[in-house]
Order: sequence, then structure tokens, then C-alpha cells
Amino acid sequence: MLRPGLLRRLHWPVVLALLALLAFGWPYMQSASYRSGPDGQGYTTSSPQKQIVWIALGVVLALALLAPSYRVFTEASLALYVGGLVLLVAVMIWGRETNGAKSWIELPANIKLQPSELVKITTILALAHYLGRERRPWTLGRVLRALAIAVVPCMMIAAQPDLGTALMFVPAAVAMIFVAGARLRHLALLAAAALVFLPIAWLGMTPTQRGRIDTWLQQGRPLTRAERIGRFHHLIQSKVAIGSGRWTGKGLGKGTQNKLNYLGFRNTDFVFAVICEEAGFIGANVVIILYILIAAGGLGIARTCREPVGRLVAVGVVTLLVVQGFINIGMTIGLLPIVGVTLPFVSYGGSSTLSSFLGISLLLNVGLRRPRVTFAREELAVVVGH
Amino acid sequence: MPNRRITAVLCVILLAFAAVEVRLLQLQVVRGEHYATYADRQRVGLLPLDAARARIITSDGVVLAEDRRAFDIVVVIGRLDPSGERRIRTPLRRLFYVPRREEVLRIVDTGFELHPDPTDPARRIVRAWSKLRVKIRGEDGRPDVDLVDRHVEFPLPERVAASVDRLAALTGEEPADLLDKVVTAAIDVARLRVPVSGSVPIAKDVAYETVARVETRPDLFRGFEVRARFARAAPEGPLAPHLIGYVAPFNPRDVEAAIETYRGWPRRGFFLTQRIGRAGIEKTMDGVLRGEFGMECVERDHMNRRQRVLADAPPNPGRDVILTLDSRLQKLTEEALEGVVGAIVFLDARTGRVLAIASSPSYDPARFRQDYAALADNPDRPLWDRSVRGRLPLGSVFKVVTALAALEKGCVPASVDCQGAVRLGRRSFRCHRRYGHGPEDLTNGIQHSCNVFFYRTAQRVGDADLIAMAYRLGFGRETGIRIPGEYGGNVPHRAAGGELLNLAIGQGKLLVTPLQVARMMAVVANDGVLVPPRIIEELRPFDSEEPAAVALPDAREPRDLKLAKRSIDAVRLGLYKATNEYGGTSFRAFRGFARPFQICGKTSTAQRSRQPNLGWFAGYAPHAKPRIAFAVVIEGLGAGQGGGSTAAPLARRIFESIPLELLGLEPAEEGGD
Repeated sequence: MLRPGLLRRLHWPVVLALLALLAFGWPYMQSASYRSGPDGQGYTTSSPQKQIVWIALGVVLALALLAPSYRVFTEASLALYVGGLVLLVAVMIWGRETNGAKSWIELPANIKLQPSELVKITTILALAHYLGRERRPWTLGRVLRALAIAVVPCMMIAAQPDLGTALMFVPAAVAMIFVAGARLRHLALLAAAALVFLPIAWLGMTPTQRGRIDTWLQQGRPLTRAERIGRFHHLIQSKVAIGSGRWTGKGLGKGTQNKLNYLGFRNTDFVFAVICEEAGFIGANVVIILYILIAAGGLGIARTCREPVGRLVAVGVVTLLVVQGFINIGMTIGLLPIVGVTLPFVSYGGSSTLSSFLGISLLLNVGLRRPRVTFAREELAVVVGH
Repeated sequence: MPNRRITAVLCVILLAFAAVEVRLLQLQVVRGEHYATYADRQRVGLLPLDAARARIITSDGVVLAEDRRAFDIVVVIGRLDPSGERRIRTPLRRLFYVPRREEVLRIVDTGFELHPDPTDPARRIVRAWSKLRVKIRGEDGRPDVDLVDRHVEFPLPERVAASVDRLAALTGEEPADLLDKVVTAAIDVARLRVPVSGSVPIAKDVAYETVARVETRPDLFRGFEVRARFARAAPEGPLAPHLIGYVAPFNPRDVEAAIETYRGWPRRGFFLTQRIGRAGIEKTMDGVLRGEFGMECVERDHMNRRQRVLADAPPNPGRDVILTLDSRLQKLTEEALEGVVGAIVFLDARTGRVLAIASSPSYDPARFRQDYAALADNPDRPLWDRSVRGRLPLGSVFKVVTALAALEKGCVPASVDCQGAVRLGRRSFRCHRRYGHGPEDLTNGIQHSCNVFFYRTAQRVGDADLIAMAYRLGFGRETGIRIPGEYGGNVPHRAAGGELLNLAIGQGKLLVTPLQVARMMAVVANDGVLVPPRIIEELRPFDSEEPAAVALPDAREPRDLKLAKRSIDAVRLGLYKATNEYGGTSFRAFRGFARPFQICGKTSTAQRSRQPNLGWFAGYAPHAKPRIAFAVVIEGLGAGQGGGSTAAPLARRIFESIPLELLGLEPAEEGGD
């Protein structure tokens, strides 16, 4: 169903921003893949090459999924959503524990899959489908039912425990409900309920998660040596890497925090700290501006899409990606507690890269086929969109 | 309406990123310099480079102390086999970790035991425990302090155990001992006492084969590394240990002193792992021997592994210290002293160069650390250098001083009739010969060591002149030799009545060191010049045979005491007769001495209250043209023993084999005798 004329209507600002982000981020991810050894005999891991493969796969997948209309996916969203939940149950049973969380399934041929990344997309589809088709007036019950669609996978992921990924569901779901037109009164009620819920959530957390939040809250006080090399280590080293980059950075491949292994998890969770160290404040702003461009472009697609399901898909994808980026950046600079979340399109990681491309593909799909709200020929545009 | 809501979402997103911008500005711009410094400080290490300590060499070229390379095997817990490391550290960390709401106040105690695995005897199980004082927030929210016991049990990872077994086979140590050290190191890492990348020594000073094995097969010894260091060694075996002294690691207590001493000489100071001379020449010549350490500025990674050298300043080795000592005479002296408690000093009578200096009992500096407890408990005090620190009564050798004082004053009695004692008030001062020597003149008085003659002489001289002469001859103050802790001796300020008589024969409050006595004899031997005893001949560039030597500046000058030739000749005659004529106190000891020179000397048997007597023999040789002066002292004499029967024979044993050139004689002369 992909007609040649359609490609011309690709939302190029988003595409270019995305390509720029990929091109800008990859060299720093490669720089961050160096592991130091004795006597300066370090090596670079294979992750930069693997990441190129993942990006290529992501591009192919994204283009392939542009062929069917996003409606195909939203119509099938119930099946996709249930399939995602089944995968989450499977990972609870057969999952492999890494860094204290059971979030991976090992498939034959040494492929590791992180179902939570996939579930992010299926949940957005399901939520958009549910919210977009409903024509009746908004009630609190409807808000709660919509929220439940997001909360069920969210709780299952939080139980892995992968708090970072789980947390991304909430802002995305709230943004979608908000844009779908829920009454502000209901949302305010929900916010109040969430405040009451916070202490309960605290009790439900694992000691590690509580420790992370505790560390985040206490980052300003004087530390003992044991604390500096203990639970504050990642936060301190990340802040040192970022701060020591100053305006222009130390240069690509010249970051000492990076090359000398002081910074941990740096080609995945802390890649932003490496960019800040090696490209400075300016480089950090390149990344931030590209994210804002994607967000603005994506929300522009939503704004001009008159079809409610498509609009909600666009809002969901944008908030998901941006919130993920914000959580990742926020944790490296000490604005948020440290949770294991990757920086979309920059960090190394197969599942997260593929799911980010899936999301972008859906966004562009909506952009291609949106029934446009354009001047007088509104009706015609709707026809063209189909 | 939906569009306005979408705009609101965009605004929230922009707001969130605005917060990020503010934080980035704060970190990178406002605090950027702070973090840049932090990054540099943790990546750059300033390491001292130790130079080999210079050598201590005798004047005839025998090396008494030098540095050699020693190799230690260390364990670095963070570099053990990765799986093994995790399997040791993870369970051990549980010993010292408490839930977040609690707080460890103090680790009261911790320990571990190794057991064989009941299912597989070849494997070993670690049972470790800890006792923690913990602050717990109680039910009512108030903190509660509690003692908590923790236990963990885990199998020792096989690859670690295998490496330790290989090491044990190589070094010959017990595998259990090595394992103990490895687990102890792991516990120290777990309780954050030692960094993960810190090296903990487990086998010291291992053989070259072990070093080669460990270095060539790092895969078999993961986590075990070789560290090279310098160690002090005596290649010729322990010779003159009291004089040489020893080195020990720098001690925090030395910091103050070092700052004061090396103000303005930054690299002359110490770094904290450096060795410092603790006694003897190692101590007095420490700065010269140690030289200047170098500095190396290295970049290191998070595991403290050096990546590259950023800058360095090589160390400047110190200078070899050449002693005045003659190794042959020193050896003879130490052999002679074996088995007795005492000291011997040989001086070049004309220059004051110390040719041999020894104290007994002695110790082996190489085993000093291991033997320290036994050495410190020994009642004969082997660590005590009697030759310069001894606080010894002198006895009759002091009669030389009394004689010189009388001769210089011109009040020597022509003859004194010794009846065996002198009465003073109600006390009787005895001669050592109960029935007296009969009429004695000065020469006989010295030859027979007649107390009564010197009592009468001292009464004529008076205490002021006698004490003045004692000071002139170098008693009562340090000689200034560069040996630490030298005792200055004691000469009484006044000596009236009985005290004067006691002083006349070297008893009473008079205390001397063997070095002072030898120097006094040198004055007699060299016609009245008080020479400063010297132990350092010169300094030479490190490890070189070149004579590009530097003399050590010495403020002390030889001092001509302006004694009349007559006086000295009279004393010399007495000393000659005491050793070489029948009736002399040391005649019997030297009867039949067949070498081509004659020895002049004075014996004494000094008394100490509540302690055994001391035997002295001091003098010079050869009689005709004196070259060397000496003092021999033996402590702990038995009943009926005296200086003539103990110290003098010991001196004779040395003179029987002393190299003739030390006495200014041609070796050929011996054959013709």
C-alpha cells in the first residue's frame, strides 16, 4: 500500500533530526566502548560494529513497517498487547538475570531479547486504540480503565525489577489520556491519588531501588571514602565526567573518565556523560536540541493529524522517546535517581534500538497517512489519507 | 482543544529540558573547574622512584652494606580470575553490609576459617564471620544500637585455590598460610580497608625462579603479581653490625624531624614507603646514602593500573660511604670478642682513624626483625654498642692520666713506699697487692699498677689539676665521631679526700667509653696530640671505583696538648715495662710474643657496685714507633680475674695475626725475626 508519492510526504524534519542524532551519537558510543587494560593495553569492544548492524536492522524494519498503514497495527493492538504480556510472563519464568534484574530472554543463536522494550510499543498502540475509538463523554472510570492498560505491563516490568523502563509508561500514558481529552478534574484527582500512592510504592521497592533514591537525595552532603567508592561511585564519576568536559569538551576519544574506565556502563546507560565529557556543553546541547526537534516534529504530526487514534499514537511515541531520553540524561547529571535506562538512538543495545525505531516508524507512518487538517479541502485530505 | 493540549505537552517537555540545561550549566560551567580538577586528581598519580641506597665500604674495599633487588609476591583481589573474584567478594561483602535503614557504627571483630569440603576433600570451604555494632531504627523510630553477628560460608573458587597451590609449591611455603593471607586480603577489601586494586604482599623475598614462573605465566597466577623493591644486604656477612646499623621503613613519627631536617630540599626528604637509617652509619650518613628520590607522574585507570608516564624526574643516587675501617682487623677483633661481653677499639694513633670497632655480644642485621624480641630481652644487651655507648668505670688505666698530671705539674714523688694501703680518716684505701709493693717510683708504679703510689701522687697534684688533665685527654665529653648515641662519659667536677684517691686510680664517679680510652692512649703514642676519632674516610660517587672522592667536612681539628716530651717518655717507659718486663701487669699475657714489634699497655680491673668487675687493657704499638692505639674491655669478670688475665690475652690474640702494614712495618720483616 506504499505508494511512491507517499514517501515525499515523509516528515523530513523528524527524519533528518533522527539521522543527525544517529550520526552524532555513534562516534561517542564507539569511544565509550574502549576498555583500559594494564600498561595502556586496552581494547575496544565489538559493540560499535554490532550497533551498526542494529541500526541497519532498525532502519529496514522502520521502512518495512511504513508499508502497511498504522491502522493495521492499531486494529491488531489487542492481540499485540496480549502477546506482549505473554512475553513478560515468559521472561519472569525463563528470564536471565543481569545486573540484578530478570529482564532478558535468551533465544537460540545467541540472540537476547528484552520484551519490555517491545511492550512499550504494543501498550501505546493498545492505549491509542482504546482512547481514540471511544466517543462517549469522559468519566473517571474511563480514565482509570485507560490507565489500567498502561499500569498492568508497567507493574510487571517493575517487578523484574526494572524501575526505569516501568516509569516511562506513566508519563506516556498520562500524556495520551490528557491529549485524548480527559477532564482536568479527573487528572487532578489522579495526581492526588498518585501522591498518596508514593509511600506505598516506596514500601514496594527493593532495597537496591530505595538505595538509589536515597543516594540521589543525599548527593550534596560530604561523603566518606567508603561511600565515594561504594554506592555514590557511579553518580560521582558521571558528574565528574560531565563537569570536566566544560564548554567544549576534551575532544572525541580523549575523555579521561571514559578512556580510563572511571565511568561505568558508559556505552549504554552513561553514554550521555561521555558526550558531555568529550564534546562539552556544546555537544550536550546538540543532543538535547535534536531530541527537542524530534519531539516538536512528532507533536507537529500529532497536531495536524485529525484522526484521533493516529494522533494519540504520535503523542505516545514522542512522549515515550523523550521521557526515556530525559530520564537517561537526568540520571547522569544527578537530576534523577540512577535507573538503568538507555539514551534512545545513542546508547548501545539491540532491543532498545529496535523498539526506538519501531516507535519512530509508527510516528512517521502516522505522518504519512494522517488525514490532514488542511485549509478548505479537508474532506479531500481525508480521502487521500486512506 | 486537542491542539492546545498537545502544545501543553510540548511545553512540559521543553520545561523538563530547561531543567536539564540549568543543571548542565551548573555542572559544566559553574563547577567545571572543580570537576576537571577532580578528574585529573584521580587519574594522575605522583609516584616516588626509589634509588638504590649507596654502599658502605671499608677502606680496603670490602662492601659492608649494599642494596640488592628483592621480589615479593602480592595478591590484587580485584585482578583475580573474574569469576573467582566475584565468588569471593560477593559473599564477603555480605559480612559488612546492612540494610539501608541501618548503619554500621563499628566492625567489632571479623575472622574466618578454612575447612575441607566434606563432599570433596580437595576443595576448601571458607567460613567467615563478622561482629558489627549497628545502629537500627527501632519500632518507635528511635535509633537503637545493637551487636549483629554475621556468618557466610562459600567454597573457595578452584582457580584461586589452584594458583595458591602452585605458588606454595614454588615458594616452599605452606599452602594454608598463603590461603590465609589471600582470604585476609579479600576480607580487608570487603570491609573497604584496602582498595580492590590494592596489592597485599603474601610472600616476601622469593627466589628468582618463582619470579620467572609468575611473570611468564600470568594466566596460571591471575591476581598474583611480582613487586620489586630494594633490600639492604651485607654481602660479606655481618661485619661491624653495631657500627653499620640498620634501615627500617619510614615511620610517621619521623615526619616532623624530616620536615625540619630537609626544609628547602624537597627531594632530599622521604616518601612514606622509603627506608630510613635507624642506627649506626646508616643513621648518621642517611642523607648521603639515600640520595634524592625521583618522581614519576603517571596516568592510571580505575583499577590503579598505570597507563602511561606523563612526566618523570629520575632519582639521584646517594654517595658511597668509605669507612676508615680495616676489614681484616675488624674481623680479627670480632672473632676475638666471640663469646665474651665487651668491646674493642683500634685507632690509627696519628690520625684518629678508627681501624676496628666492635662490641659483643652482637647481632645479625639480616635477622634483626625476627630476632628482635630475643635481642631485646638478652641481659647482655646485644643491641647496645659498648664501644661508644658504654658507661664504664675505667680503673687503673686512668693512672696514665694521674701520672701525666703529676709530671706536667712537676710534683711526682721520687719514691713512695707501698705498704698495701693508705689510711684517710677512718677509711683505708688499699693497694691490689695486700702486702704492698715496697718503694715505688713512677715507672714502677705504672708497671706494677701500684695504687698507693698514685694515691700519694694524686694528693700532691690536687683534684683541680687531675680533673683538668682528664678533660685535656678527652674524657668527660663526646669525641664527636659520626656514630649516633655516643656517650660523653663522666668526669667529676670536684674530688676531695677519699674521692680524690678513688679518682687517682680511675674509680669513683669516673665513667668512660672504650673509644675515649683508645684515644687517650693515642695521645701518649703520638707525642701529645689529641686526635678526633674519625670513622668516615670519604664519600665516593655511587657504585664507582673512581677516586672522585670527597672528604667529609669535619670541624674537629687535632689539638696539640703541649705535653712535655719528658712527661710522655716517662709514661711510655712505664707502659713498656708493664707489658714487656717481668712484674708488669700484662707481662704474663704477652710472654713469648714473637712478632717483630712490641706492645705497650696498661691493664685495669675496674669495680662496679653490685656488678661483676671489668677488665681493661689499653695501649699502643709498636713500642718503637707507635702507629695504633687500642682499648679492650671485658665485662663480667669472675672472682680472681683481672684485666691482665682477660683483656690482655684477648688483645694478644689480635696482635698475633694483625697485618703488619697497619703497624707501619714491612711484612718481610717478620721472616727475619
